Amino acid sequence: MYRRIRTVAALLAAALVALTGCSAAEDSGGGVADVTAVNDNSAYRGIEMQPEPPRPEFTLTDQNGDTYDFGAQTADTPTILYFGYTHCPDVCPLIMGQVSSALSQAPDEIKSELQVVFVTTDPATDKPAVLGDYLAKFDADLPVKYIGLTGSLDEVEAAQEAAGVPVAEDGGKTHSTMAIYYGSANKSHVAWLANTSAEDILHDLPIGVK
Amino acid sequence: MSAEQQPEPGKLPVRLVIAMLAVIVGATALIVGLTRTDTAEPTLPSDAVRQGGIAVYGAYVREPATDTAAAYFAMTNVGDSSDTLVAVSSPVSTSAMLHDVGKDELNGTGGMDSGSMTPTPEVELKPGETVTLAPTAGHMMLEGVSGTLEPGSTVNLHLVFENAGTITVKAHVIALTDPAPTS
Ligand SMILES: [Cu+2]
Repeated sequence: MYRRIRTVAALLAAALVALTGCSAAEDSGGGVADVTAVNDNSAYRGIEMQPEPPRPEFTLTDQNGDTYDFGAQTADTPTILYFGYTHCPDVCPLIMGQVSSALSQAPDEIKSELQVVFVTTDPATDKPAVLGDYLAKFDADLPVKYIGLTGSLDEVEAAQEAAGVPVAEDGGKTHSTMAIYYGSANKSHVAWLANTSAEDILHDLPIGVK
Repeated sequence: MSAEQQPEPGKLPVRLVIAMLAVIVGATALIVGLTRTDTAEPTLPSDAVRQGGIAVYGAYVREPATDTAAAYFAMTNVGDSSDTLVAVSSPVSTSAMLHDVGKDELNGTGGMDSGSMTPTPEVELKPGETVTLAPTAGHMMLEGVSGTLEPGSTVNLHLVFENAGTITVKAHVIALTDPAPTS
């Protein structure tokens, strides 16, 4: 189902077709109307997670070269988890910049605690030092510095599977654009796609913090 | 697409995601995309650079976090014959390329949640047609950017059209944390 779509009408139609096909193939309840109704009533401007995925468990290497146990070291801490790669021209700098902008405006109790974790999908390029330089572009003005994680290709793919995002392809360049927000109760209530604005992220931060 | 994939326990609620995307796409239809619109009598923005039958406007570059950046702009064919964008370049980068973004599927998730970049070497513009490059939908990738691109400065983009020739526009550099400009 490879598509190259240029028009909005076609894009929208394709989304609806994909949805329809998906519902039929899975032979389960919850059609278009149900899901849309959920969206209309959602307290979130991002994508409300139902069911709410738990904080995943995986261990990788951080930008200082130290072992980082994501499940243990972020436990009970509001966390934004994103998978991408440093040389991404578009979606990665966009969502990382919007997250940083939202955090800089967030209430102090969130700003002083929330941990952003960027896991590379291109570990061949993104060694610890590369991640460190990259994240410094985003967290300079924030009290909690971002964590950048890398490892072997197998390890970063296992992390994506643990978080429930589709595993990146094409050397990490085709990757999920979802930034997943886990609250202090270690479940995610909301996630944001790469084109979510800082304003919308800021709106969702206090609601999803629990 | 490969064989149908069964949802696995622990996977994110993909069907929900797709439905949300349908809603999001609908809501942002006017600003997103390598989006084509037809306007009989286009009113061009004041920053439009017009040459031959082509007008280019709204150009900006997001300050890169590495040596790879993305430039965005809109182009309208205001003439009465088709023209084709056949090459792009910028003096600030060693190479440049147009990409259609997010159009490939990723592991059977419905194709919408992916940062896929499809090289798009040629873009044809029919009379009256507009193509807009916007984040998560399409960009001109600048690779091998030398030095830093300071927010507030401008960089030149060269767009080579078959008939209109080489059009040079100044793209404003915006900060990493800036919102995407709307039109
Ligand atoms: Cu990316």
